[in-house]
Amino acid sequence: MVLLVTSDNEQFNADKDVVERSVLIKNMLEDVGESDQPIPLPNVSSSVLKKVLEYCEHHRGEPLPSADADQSQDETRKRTTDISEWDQKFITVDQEMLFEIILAANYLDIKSLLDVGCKTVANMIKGKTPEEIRKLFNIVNDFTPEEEAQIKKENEWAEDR
Amino acid sequence: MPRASRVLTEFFAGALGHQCGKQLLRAASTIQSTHIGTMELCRRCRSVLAEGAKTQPSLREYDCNVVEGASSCGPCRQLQELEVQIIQVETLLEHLKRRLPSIKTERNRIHDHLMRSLPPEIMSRIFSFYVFSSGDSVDLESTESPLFLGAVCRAWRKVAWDTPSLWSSLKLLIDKSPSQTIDKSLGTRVKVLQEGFACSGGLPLSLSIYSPSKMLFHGPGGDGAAWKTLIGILDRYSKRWRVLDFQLPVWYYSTIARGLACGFPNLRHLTLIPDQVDRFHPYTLFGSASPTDIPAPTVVELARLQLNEINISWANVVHLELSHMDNKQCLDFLRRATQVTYFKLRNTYASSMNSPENTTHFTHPRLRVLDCMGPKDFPALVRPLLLPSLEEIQYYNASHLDFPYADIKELVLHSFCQLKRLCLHGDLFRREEALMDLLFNLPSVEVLTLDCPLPWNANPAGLFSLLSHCGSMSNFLPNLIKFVYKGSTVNFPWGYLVQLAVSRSFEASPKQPARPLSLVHIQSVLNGNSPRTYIPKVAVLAILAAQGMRFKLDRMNANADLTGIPPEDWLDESMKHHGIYIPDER
Repeated sequence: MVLLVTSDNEQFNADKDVVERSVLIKNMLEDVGESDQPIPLPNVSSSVLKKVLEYCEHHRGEPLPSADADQSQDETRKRTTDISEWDQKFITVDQEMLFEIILAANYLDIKSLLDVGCKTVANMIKGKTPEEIRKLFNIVNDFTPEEEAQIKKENEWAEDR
Repeated sequence: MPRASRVLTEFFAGALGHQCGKQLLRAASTIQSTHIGTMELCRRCRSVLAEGAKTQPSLREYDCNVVEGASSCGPCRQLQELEVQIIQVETLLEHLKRRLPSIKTERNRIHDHLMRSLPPEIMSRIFSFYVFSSGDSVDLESTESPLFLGAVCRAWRKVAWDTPSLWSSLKLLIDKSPSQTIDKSLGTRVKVLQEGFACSGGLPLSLSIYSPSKMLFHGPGGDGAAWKTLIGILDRYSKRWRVLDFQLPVWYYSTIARGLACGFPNLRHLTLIPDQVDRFHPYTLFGSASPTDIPAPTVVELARLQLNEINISWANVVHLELSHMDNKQCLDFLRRATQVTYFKLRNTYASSMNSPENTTHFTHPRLRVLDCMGPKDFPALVRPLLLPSLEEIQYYNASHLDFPYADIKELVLHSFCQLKRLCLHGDLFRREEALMDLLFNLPSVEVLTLDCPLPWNANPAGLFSLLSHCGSMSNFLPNLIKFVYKGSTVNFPWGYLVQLAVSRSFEASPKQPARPLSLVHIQSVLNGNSPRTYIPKVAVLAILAAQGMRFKLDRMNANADLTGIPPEDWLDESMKHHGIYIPDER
């Protein structure tokens, strides 16, 4: 078992093969060796770590992506935004929590969870007009009239069709 | 009071309190010092000018010949004063408007939930998923392009523009909108391409240009400036092209061939699909490339081109797709591409010339997969070929043509190859005995797919009869591991399927081992009028009890490929229909 301490000083006990889905924790454990020392996670709150551990527990035993997976993915380019049914249910949280999970996955280096989060945001944007996206994320149109004209030009043939 | 209103109120209080032009100018200079940094005076009328004053209305002069004291008459003076005030207010308004975007940007920085929460590298990742979710290149016309993301706000635009991978693989549709000329329309697109590739950092590049409507094009149109720019883009990034895919009206290929000055030494994937054969403008694509810069792709897709119309190195080509060519042209390409392992032919036709070269055998030592659709004169195409490494044949037959079973058999036999996978598509059972003869002669086949969408009353009884006797008939496909049948199940021989399901238990013996068949996939294809039938109960029970053999039975509509509706689990539905329930997972 591995003891993790969150930013709000809560302690979590988890199996080694569960927490080792995080490359950051895996490397830490390898560096430290056998030890009872708790691992501090100053960038992750307890509510988020709970979710992250739930994800790691569910995907325990699945092969970890190789270090060069990202590169080969770039090679083939196509990045599906399909998310498995369980992952979809798991990630159905409010925006605040979704972004916290993404940040935690990035910090803990859990690529598959990071991808689930990023795909979810990508799917939120999909099919929406710029105005709808602005509404969704509380953004205002801050382009100058000149920039606005440039954008219109960039997209004019698409509008023409 | 909001700051903008306060400024206006103060301004009006100051300006309206003065009667003479001099005082007004003093008032204006107050505004200048507090709000407008670069205010100037007009040389002609001495009124206040703002930034970009050339576009501002200038103060009109009133020709007043009635002098009251030392100045013009009252109304003229008032008019002049009013005009000065209007210009000043307009100047202020303009200034305030100019301040708006930067304050809005600052507001977004605080309020944009996404940008505030996530760092730019994660935003880039999200954008990447967004942009590449429906393909491996970015269609600049789709709503899933980085242009679209860049239209949300400045911060999003910066992230999109600063993410090179979003711009390294672009797709361009050349089409004419009703309101534009071809060149103008292409010009806008090419400019966007140019700006897009400029954001791609040093990444390998990919460009697809295609035109869905050949009727619109009879030449570049206009002065061809856009087309020249496009060729300039190709030349500028000549060392970085990884994928080039041109599916264009024939006219453009000679234009490209004449315009290109460079070769593309790092090209890996080349697609050239003109819509017609060009007999009037002879050209050689990449003809001006130096020997060290000649493209040496691994994947080549060509249509309607001859060998002498394309100057590439064939040494690395492993995947070759040809369409709309005659057999002679196809064989010419294959002879050059000696490393090809996958050879795909679509809509090839009989050669008009009977070249002696085409009748002499040639051995292609590497070819492993032959994938043909509707070739005319298939015998003439394969007769000269010896393919000792051939492992897979996929053959899609046009409905009106006889299935060339004997020619496929001949190709395999005289090539002395170990064919492992065979996929046949068409009216397979019209000459069932020829099909059986072919299968009897392919003992090495491990995966057999028979896709027989028509006719609806096709009856595969003979085939299933032979498959069901797996022990005693081991000379029929003795190495078969996976069998897929797609077609009508109107007259389906369920009795043989039951036999097949139980055969492993009864017929195998140490002396005569069972066929290693482990997966049988039956896909029932329904047309609009097909009745909704179920698998007979006895067959369901036999399938569920089968030892060492997995059965998958589903059904789908004939047009499912177009509608994208996934197949239904026929076995599951039939179990429910017959009230068969298994507590554990099948």
